Amino acid sequence: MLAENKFEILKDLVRQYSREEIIWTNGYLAGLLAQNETRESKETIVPVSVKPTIIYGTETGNSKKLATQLQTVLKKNKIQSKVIDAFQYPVEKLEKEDFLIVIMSTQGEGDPPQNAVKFFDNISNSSANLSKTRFAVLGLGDSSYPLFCKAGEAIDEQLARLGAQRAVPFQKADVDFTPVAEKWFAEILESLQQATIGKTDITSSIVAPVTHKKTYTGIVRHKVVLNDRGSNKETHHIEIETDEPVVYEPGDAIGFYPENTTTETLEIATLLQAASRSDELKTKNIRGLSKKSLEALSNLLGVSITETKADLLDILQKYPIDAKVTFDAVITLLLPIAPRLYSIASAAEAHDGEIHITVNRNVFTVDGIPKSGLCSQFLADFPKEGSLPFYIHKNPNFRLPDPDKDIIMIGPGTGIAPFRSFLAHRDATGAEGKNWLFFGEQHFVSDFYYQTEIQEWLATGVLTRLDTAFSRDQKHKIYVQDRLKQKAKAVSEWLDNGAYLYICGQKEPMSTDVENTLLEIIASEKNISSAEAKTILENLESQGRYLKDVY
Amino acid sequence: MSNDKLSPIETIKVNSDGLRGTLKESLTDNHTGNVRPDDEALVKFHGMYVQDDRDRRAERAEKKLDKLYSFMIRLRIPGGVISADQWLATHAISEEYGTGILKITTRQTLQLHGLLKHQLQPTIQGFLLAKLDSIAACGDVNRNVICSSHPQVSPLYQQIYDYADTISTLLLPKTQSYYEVWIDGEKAYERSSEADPLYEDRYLPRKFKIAIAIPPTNDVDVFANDIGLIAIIKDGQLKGFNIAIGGGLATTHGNPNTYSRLATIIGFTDTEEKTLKAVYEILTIQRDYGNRSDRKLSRLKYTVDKLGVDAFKKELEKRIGFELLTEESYTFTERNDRYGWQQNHENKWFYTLFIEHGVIKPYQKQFLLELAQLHLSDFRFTCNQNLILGNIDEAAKNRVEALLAKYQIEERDSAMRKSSMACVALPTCPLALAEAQRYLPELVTKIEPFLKKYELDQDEISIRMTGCPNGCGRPYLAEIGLVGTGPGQYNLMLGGDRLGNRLNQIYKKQLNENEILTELDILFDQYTKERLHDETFGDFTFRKYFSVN
Repeated sequence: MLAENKFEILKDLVRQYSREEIIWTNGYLAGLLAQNETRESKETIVPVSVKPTIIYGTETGNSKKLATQLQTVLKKNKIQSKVIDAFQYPVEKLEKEDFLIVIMSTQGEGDPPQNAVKFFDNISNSSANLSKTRFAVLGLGDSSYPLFCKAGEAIDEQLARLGAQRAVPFQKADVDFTPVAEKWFAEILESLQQATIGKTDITSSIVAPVTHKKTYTGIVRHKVVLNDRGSNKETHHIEIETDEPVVYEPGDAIGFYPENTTTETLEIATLLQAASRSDELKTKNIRGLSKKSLEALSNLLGVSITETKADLLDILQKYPIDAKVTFDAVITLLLPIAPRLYSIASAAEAHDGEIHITVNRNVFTVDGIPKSGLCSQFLADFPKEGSLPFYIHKNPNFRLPDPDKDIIMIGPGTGIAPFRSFLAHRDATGAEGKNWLFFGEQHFVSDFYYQTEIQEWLATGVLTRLDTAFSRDQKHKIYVQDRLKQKAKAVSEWLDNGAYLYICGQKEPMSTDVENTLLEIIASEKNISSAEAKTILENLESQGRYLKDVY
Repeated sequence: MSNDKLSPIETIKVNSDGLRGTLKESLTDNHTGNVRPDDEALVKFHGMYVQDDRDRRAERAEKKLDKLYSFMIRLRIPGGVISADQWLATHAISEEYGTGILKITTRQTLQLHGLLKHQLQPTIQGFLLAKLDSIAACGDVNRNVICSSHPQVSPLYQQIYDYADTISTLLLPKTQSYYEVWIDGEKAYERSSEADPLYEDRYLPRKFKIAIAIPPTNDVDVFANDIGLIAIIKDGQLKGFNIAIGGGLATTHGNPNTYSRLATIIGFTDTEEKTLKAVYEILTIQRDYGNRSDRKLSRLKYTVDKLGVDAFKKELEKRIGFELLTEESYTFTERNDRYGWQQNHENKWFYTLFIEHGVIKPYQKQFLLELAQLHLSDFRFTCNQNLILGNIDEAAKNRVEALLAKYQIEERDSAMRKSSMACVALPTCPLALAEAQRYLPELVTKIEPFLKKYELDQDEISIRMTGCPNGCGRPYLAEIGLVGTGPGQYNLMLGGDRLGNRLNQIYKKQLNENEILTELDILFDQYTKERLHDETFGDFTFRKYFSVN
C-alpha cells in the first residue's frame, strides 16, 4: 500500500526503535486514526440496536465508577447497556454477547482484583467461540508497578484468542485515569454507532504512553515513634526534606522503593549456593509470592508447593532444593519489588515543603513465624540523615474541596495522615470551611497520633469538632463508626449543608463498617429505606463529595 | 478581713455551683487527659489531684503527645479503719484502674495514683458500692480526720475513734455534686437542700486538718494539725479533750513570712457536745478571718497569730457560748508504731506491718488480698504509713501467722527504716523540687552502715524526707529532716525530738548525698561520744547546736 520510498523510511525508523517504542508508535498512529474517524463521524447519528454488557472488576471502586459513567454516556446516546460486577457475571453467557466491554484493574503482581479472580480464571480457561462478539477492554493500574495493567491486558488477549473482534484497541489507564477513560468512551460510542454500517477489525492493541514519574531524593531529617511506651503499635512519623522543591497537594501519596534486608537476601543466596551474589536480590520481590510465581517456582524446584502465598525464603527452607537449581534460574522468576505508597501527612504550605509520612510498622505472623511488612520495616529501619529515593503519586480522587466547604474526615489509625495534611493546609491558607475529624486507635494515652497538634487546631478553631474512639480503653470496644452513630444527627446535618465526606485507613473492616454506619445514619435520619440511603450515598460519591482512600 | 484582691481560687469556688464547675464538660473533653483549668481546683474537693508524669514530659512532647495526665484519688477514711470486704473492693479497683499501687498516706488513708480521666467515674462508683468515698479528701475543707491507731493503748480506743467519724460527718460540705458528677452526670439534687451554713459558697481559705491523739502515743503528730484533740483519760474514763489550734508545717522557700508552727493548746472541753461545737466554730472563725488573698498565708496558724491566741480564744468562746476549761495534763511517750503482734483489753490481736513510705509492695499486696479473702481481720492505716491487721480472734491468729510466713512478711528492716517517712514527690507531685519516696529507701540503705559502725542500728532515730518545703511528710518533726531544695539537694534539719513535741531547725543547707552522709558520720560519732544518759539523737543535736545556754 505504501510507496516503496515511504516504506523504506518506515523500515529505517522501525529498525532504530526499541520494542517499547514500536508499541508506543503503533498506539500513537492508531490514536491519530481514531481521532480522525471521530471527527468525520461527528455528524452521523445512527440508531444502535446493540446492547453492550459492561463488566467491571474493581478493588477500590474506580472501575465500577467508570463502568457507571460509561453507561451514562451511552444512555445519552440512546444506547441501553447493562453494568455488572465481574464476580456476578456467568462466563458461559459469553457467546451470547454482541458487544462486551471490560473495565479491569490490576493488583499486586499483575493480578485481577479479588472479586474478579473467578471471572478471570474462567475466561482464561474458556474455549468459547466468540466469533460473533466484539469487545473492548480498559485496564486500570499504576504505572509505578512492574506489571502495569497486566490483568486487563490478559483479558484483552484472551478474548481475541477466543475469536472475538476488538471494537476498540486495548487501553491502559494510569492513576489519573479520567481523561484517558473519557477518550476511550468516545471511541466505544463511535464504534457502537458504526456497528450497523460495517465492522472494522482492529487487531493490534494500543498502549497509552506511560506517564513518566519523576524520582526525587529526600533526606530523612526527623523520625519519631508516635506511640508512647506500652503501646501495641509502632507508628513512625518521618519527615523528609529535599534540595529541589517537590510539588504535591493534600491528598497525594508518596511512593518508595523498599529493598530487601541483607540478612534475608544472604540467607536465600546461601541456600542457592551463591552467597556472594546476594545483592542481586536486593530489589527483587521475594515476599508474598503470588500463586503464579509459586507455580513457576514449583516447576523449577520440581516439588509441589501447597501454599498460595508465601515468602521465597520460607519455600526454599521448607522444600528440598535440587542441587541443579541455580541462583540464575530462581532470580529470573522474580519480579522487581513494586513501590509502596503512603498518604502524605504534611502540607507544603505548613511544613516548609517537607514531606511527612505516618507509617505503622506492620507486624504479623504466618504459620507462627513473626513477619513484618517489607516497606514499613524498611522505613522504620531507615537511618536518619539517609538519602531516600521517592516519587509523588498524584491522587486526584482525594482532594480538598473549595476552601469554604465543610469536610468530615474519618481517619482512624494511620488513616489520619492525609487529614493532618488537610488540616495543616486549611490552617495555613485560612480556609473558612468547617472541619470535623473522627480519629480512633487502641489507647488514648499511648496512641493518640498528633494529639498536641490536634489540640492546637481545636484551640484556634481550625478543627470545629473532634470525635475519638479508643477501642481498648474500656471493656467493650468502641470504634469510629460508633462515634459516627452517636453523632448521627449532626453528621446528617453537615451532609445536608453540603459537607464533603472523607474516609482514609484500612479497607477492611474499617471502611466497610463506616460505610454501613453512614447508610444507617442516612436511612434513620431521613426516615428512608436502606436502598434509598444507598442511592444518596452513591450520588454523593458521583458528585465527588464522598471520597475514600483505603487500603 | 484583708482587703487585698481575692486569690483566683476564691472566685472559682464561689462560682462553682456547689463544686460542680464545668466538670461534666471536662469529663467529655476527648482531646485531653486533663480537666479544664478551673476544674483542676474543684476536683480536689472531690478527693482528687490532677498530676502529670514529669519524667515523661519531654519524651511525650517529642511524640506530639500531650503531658501524661492522670489523677490521684484519696479516700476519706476517718480514723483509718476499713473492713476486709472494703479492702477487697479497693484491691480490685486498683488492679483495674491506675498504676496498681496502693499508698497509705500520712493522714491514715489510702490513695491510688495514675487514674486516667475516663477511669474516674468507674473508680468512684466502685468505691461507693463498697461504702467508701473521697469527698473532701483534698481541697479547702476539713480533710480526713485522723486518730491514734493502736487500740491496745487504751480500752477507750473505740469510743475515741468514733469521734473521728462524727467530726468528719459534721464537717462535710453539704453539696451533693459528688454523686451528680461522678455517678450519672444528671442533675439530681435540689440546690435548696444543699444550703451550707458552715462553708457557705466560699469554703475555707485553705485546707484544714484535724487529729485526735490518745496519749501516751502521738502517732498522729497532733501538733502538726489545724486542730489537735488530745484525749484526756482519768480512772479509765474519757474526761474530754485538750484542744490545740494552729498547727501546720508548710513553709515556702525564700518566703520569710511562712513558717512551721506547732498547735497551741487553748483549753479543755468535757462533753461531746461542747467538743464538737468548739471544733465547728474554730472552722467558722477560720472561714471568716482567714486570709483569702495569699494562699501561702491562709492556714489557720496565720489566722491564730494574726488575731493573737487570746483574742482567737475569746472569739471562739463568744461563738460557742461557753468558756473553755483549763487544759488537763497528759504525757506522750511514743510516736512510732508498735510493730508485730499486740493484744488489746478484749484479747483481740493486732499485727502491725511495716510498709516503707506507705507504698504497698506487690508481694505485700498479694498477702493482703489472700488475708482479706479469709475475713479474719480488718485493715487499719497508721499516720506513720503502716498497716495494722486488726481485731483478730485468738482462734484465728495462727491462720494469720501461717499467711505471714507464707509470704515471708518478716521484720528485718532497721530501726531507722521503720522510723522513716517520705512524701510522694517526683515524678507526679507538681510541687516537688527533689526526690523523696523514690529515693529515701536508697539513702537509708547508705546510712545503715554508719549506724552499724556506731552501734546505733537498734536506735529508732526518725528520719523524714520531702521533695519540697510543704511538709506533707512532716519533715520538721523528725530528728533528721531532709527538705528538698533542688534536684539531689536537701536542707538538713536537726534538733527535733522523737515524739513530735519540738520542731527541728536548719543545720546545713543544700547538701548533696555525699555531704549528707559525711555530716551524719560526724554527727553519729559526736552523739555516741557525747550523749547524756537516755538522750535521743534529736535531743542531743538540739542541745549541742540549737539550745541557747
